[in-house]
Formats: sequence, structure tokens, C-alpha cells
Amino acid sequence: MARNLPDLAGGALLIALAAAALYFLEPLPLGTAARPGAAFLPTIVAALLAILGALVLVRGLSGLPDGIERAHLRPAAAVLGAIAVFALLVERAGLPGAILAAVLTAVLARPRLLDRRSLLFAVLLAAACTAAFRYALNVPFRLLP
Amino acid sequence: MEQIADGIALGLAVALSPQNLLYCFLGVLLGTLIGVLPGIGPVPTIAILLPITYGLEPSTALITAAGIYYGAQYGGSTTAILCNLPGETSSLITCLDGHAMARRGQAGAALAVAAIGSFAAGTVAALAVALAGPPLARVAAAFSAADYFSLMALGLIGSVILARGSVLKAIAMIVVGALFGLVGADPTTVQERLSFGLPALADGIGFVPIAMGLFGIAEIVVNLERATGRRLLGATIGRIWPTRDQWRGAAGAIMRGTGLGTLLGVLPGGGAVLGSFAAYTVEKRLSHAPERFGQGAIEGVAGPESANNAAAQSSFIPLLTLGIPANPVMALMLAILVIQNIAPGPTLVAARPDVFWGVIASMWVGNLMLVVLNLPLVGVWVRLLNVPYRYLFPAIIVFCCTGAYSVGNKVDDVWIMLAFAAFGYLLLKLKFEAAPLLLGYVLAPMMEEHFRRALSLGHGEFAVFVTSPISAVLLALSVLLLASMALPAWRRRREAAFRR
Repeated sequence: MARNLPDLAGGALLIALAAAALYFLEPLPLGTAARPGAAFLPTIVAALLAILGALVLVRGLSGLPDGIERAHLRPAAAVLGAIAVFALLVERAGLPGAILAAVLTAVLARPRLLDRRSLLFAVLLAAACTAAFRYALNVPFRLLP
Repeated sequence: MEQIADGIALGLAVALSPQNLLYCFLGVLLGTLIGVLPGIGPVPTIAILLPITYGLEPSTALITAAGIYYGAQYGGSTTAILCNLPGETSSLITCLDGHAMARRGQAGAALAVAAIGSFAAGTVAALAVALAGPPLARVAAAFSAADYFSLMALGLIGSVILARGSVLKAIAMIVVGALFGLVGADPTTVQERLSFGLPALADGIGFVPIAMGLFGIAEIVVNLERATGRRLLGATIGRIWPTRDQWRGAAGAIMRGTGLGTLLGVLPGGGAVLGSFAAYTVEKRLSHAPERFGQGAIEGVAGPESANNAAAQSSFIPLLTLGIPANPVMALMLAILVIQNIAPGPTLVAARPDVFWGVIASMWVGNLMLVVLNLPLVGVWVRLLNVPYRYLFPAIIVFCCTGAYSVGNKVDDVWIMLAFAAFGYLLLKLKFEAAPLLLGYVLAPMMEEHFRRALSLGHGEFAVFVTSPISAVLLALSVLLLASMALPAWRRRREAAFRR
């Protein structure tokens, strides 16, 4: 059975998004066309999205067969993890510490990158970014834990 | 005419102020620096460098961002010529003959023609913006709310046709973007919607974390999955200044490319892409020896490179006069203006002449800087191409994190960026283009405002969108466009055009 997997999954994703939006918009006032409420336009948009999602889904059933490119967990986890580490640390450990930790998490994306050169690079980057953002752009970053 | 001359004089005064000159230079330099890095086109470059513009005056901010744009685009051409790696779609076509020239040891001449062609194109296109802008703004000033709504709808649909990939999926992405754009307090009733009670979402989802997550970070993850080694440059640069024969071939191509690019850049969608493809086709058709194309014909570099730069500039026309971004780069520019509390649109010329004319003048100044900066520094850019990815990607991640935080000194923005990075990665895997999402996101709040105003003026009757003749025509055009895309014959032609 030939199916277009990206379209099938994409259509399902769009429908899920639309359904979630409609669910959370439900308690809000729709209003009337002359006096639209907060949910008026978002509801129209979400309904439109559900229809488009269904169309994509249907096309996935009949369209040219296609597969989804293999996802690799390691790079995705390392990159997204690095951002999470930064977010968790920046207001607790300060900017330089957060950058250091984020870089050392990010390099886990590929095997054998966590070495002395990456550590040195992380230190340099932390110093450069702190100088640029804290001092040149005057963003009030915390510096120390 | 006199008014335009005054405007240009004002613009030059703004653009040539020491501060703006410095930031324009900085923008072009950083734009080239980041844009020359493999796989990073203008949109992620501007997204990554956005924090630089935060604390600046509106005109300086826009001038800096425009400088980044030109720099990034030229950076993309440099990698296309030297490494056969287009930074973005508008320099795709440059790879064909540009890289062929590089393989024959004429990389220097190809780079020089690209830079000089871009400068010539930039000069003409900047003048076109100056001439077409004010009259267009006067026409647009007569538009009612309903007309505006319909114009934006037409712009969104038009941008889909010219975008790559599936039309249906692109429209779906616009709608997803619109939904994200409507999150937060409703502008009239101030009631929060889809914000889940989170203070971070009360004012809507921030533009910077969305752009950085979707374009900066998601791209990195995919690059890390795919690429292992990178092709290094084998060829030498060769002499920079083109020979007399090369000039003779390039001059006509530059002029034709400029004309085509200026016209096509105004259209919604991939103006620069369309311009460069059209210019290449025209050069090949006009050539006495079309077989040279693909083997290193200098016209094949001069035409498309002039066209994409001209288009890059004329795409500012709809943004500055109508407040409608024609492509994702212009959506970023619009966001910069909105961050600065400036409403782009027909009133911009009158209300903020310094911004309007300053940007136009800086186009010319920025292009001059590109030539001055790039030709002597080609060697430096080449070396940058060899920066190992192992240093590059952590640096981009850190810069995005720090940048997202600095928009409002909120950690929540970093989390939002993380969410959109994951979402963007998912979209790439499912073969959705993220660019239309950005357009929908930027335009949705503006469309909602016009939608409301139109309905309240029309006493709640939807007929208001068809009783106004301008709006009716615009909506009819939108429907026509949509219908034409459903026709199989049209669809085949469009696909063939993108397959080059």
C-alpha cells in the first residue's frame, strides 16, 4: 500500500493543532459579526486549519508514496537539551556559566566532540558573549551564581 | 519630482550620519560573515543577528537589518561560486556558471562581476523604490479597512504560488502561523486567548524566539543529522578584475538582470528567486552560444546576481508603502519596525520620512559597502568557509539563546524558542516549509484589526468585503489565483519552473 507518510502525519498534526485550539477557545466569547469577541477570528482560523489538515491527510492517502527521513535522536536531544540547560541556568548560575554548560551539552550532538578543544572554545565563547551582550548591548545579565 | 529629490537628500543625510554609516557597515560585515557560513541563508542570518538592533533608533535598526540582508545575500553568492553551496534559493542558479568559472580558475572574476552587478542593480532598484514609493503610498492611503484585509489576503495567497513545494501545505503553514499570531490578549476586548494563563504568552508569542527557533535552531539539528564532511575549496581565486571580454559579456546581462529583478521583486513570494531564475533564462535565450551556459558563462553569473539583488531591494516597496511583507525577509523587517513601535504602511512616508528615505539611501550605501568590503576581503571569506562545524553550531545555539533572552530579559522567551525549534524540526521532517508560517504569523494581527474595523463599519455584514470595489477586485484576484493553482496544467508548469 503506497502512502505518503509525511502528508499523513502532517495532516494529523494540523488537525491536532486545530482541535487543541478549538478546545481552548471554547470557553471564550465568540461575539457577533458586528461585535466580534476574543474567540471570533481565532475560531475561524482554527476551523480553516482543521479543513486544510483533512485535505493534507486525504492527499497523503492517495498521493505519491514517500517516506519520512529517519530522525536521529542524538543531535536533536543535544541541541534542544543545550537550550534547556541555558534556560535553566541563565538566571541561577549567570550568563558565563550558562553558556559554558550549553556548549558542552551541544557538542554531545556528535560523538567524540567533548574534548579539551571544545572546553577551550566554550570558555572563549562565554567570554565573548558576556562582553558583547552584558557590556556592549547593556543587557542586565547575571554574571555569577 | 522635487519632493523625491528632497526625500533623497534627507535620506542621504540620515544614511550618511556617522552612527548609521557605522551600523550599516557593521550589518553588511556581520551579514556577510554569517551568510557565508554554509547552509545559512538571509532569514536565519537576520534572525540570529536581530539582537543587535534592539537598542537602536528605528531608522538605524532598519538600516542595520537591511545591511545584514545584503551581506547575507552576497555571502550566499560567494559560497555558491566557490563551493557550489547556495546559501539560499536565490543564489541557486549562480552555482551553475559561477562554480564552473571557479573550477576554471576564474573565481575572482565571478565574484567581482557578482559584486559589481549587485551594486549596479542596487543603485537602479533603490531609485525605483524612491520613485514608486510615495505615489503608491498615496494610492494606498485611500484604502478602507476592508480593502486592506483583502489586499493582505491576496498578498498571502500570492506568496504561496511563488513559494517552493506543495501549495496546499504552504497555505496550511500560513494558517498555522496566523493561529500563533493571534495568541495573547485580544486587542479590543483585552481578553486573553490561547495563552494558557502563562504571563509569557499574554502579549502574544514573541517574534524573535519564533524566528530563531524555526530557522536558526531547527536547521542546525537537520544539518547535524545529514552532513558529515564538507567540500573544501580546491580552486584558486584567480585574478579579481574581469578581462575586457568578460566585461563586454557581463554589462548587458547586468542591465537586463537589473530590470527583471526590479520588476519581479515587487511581487509577493520569492521575488529574488524568481528574478534570478528569469534572468538566467533570458540570458541563455539571448546568447549566441547558449551551449556555454553551465560551462562558466559570465552572463550566467552577472544576470542572476544583478536580478536577485535588484529584487531584494524592490521587495521593500510593498513593505514600506503598504505595510505588507512580500517574503519572509520582509516579514522580519516588518517585525523590527513593530518592535520599534512604528506602523509601516501608507503613512510611513509622511509620518517618518527619516525612516523611509533613510532606508532607501542606505540601500545604495550598503551596496557600495558590499563592493568595497567584499572584493579585497575575498580571501578572508574563503578561510571562513573552512571553519569547522563543530565550533559553528554551538556558537549559533548560544547566540540564539542569549539573543532570545535579551529581547525582554525573560527566560520564557528561551523556552518558547526551544518549543519552536522542536516544532520546526518536526516540520522539516514532514516536508513543510516554515517560511509561509512566518508570513501568516506577522500578518494575522494586522488582518484581525482590519477585519474588525471593516465589520464594525459595515454593521456586521460580511458584504462589506465585496461592496467596496477595491476589496471586491482584490478578493476576486485571490480566488482566481487559488482556482488557477487547482488546474493541473498550471500546476505542472509551476513544478517545471522550479525544477529549472
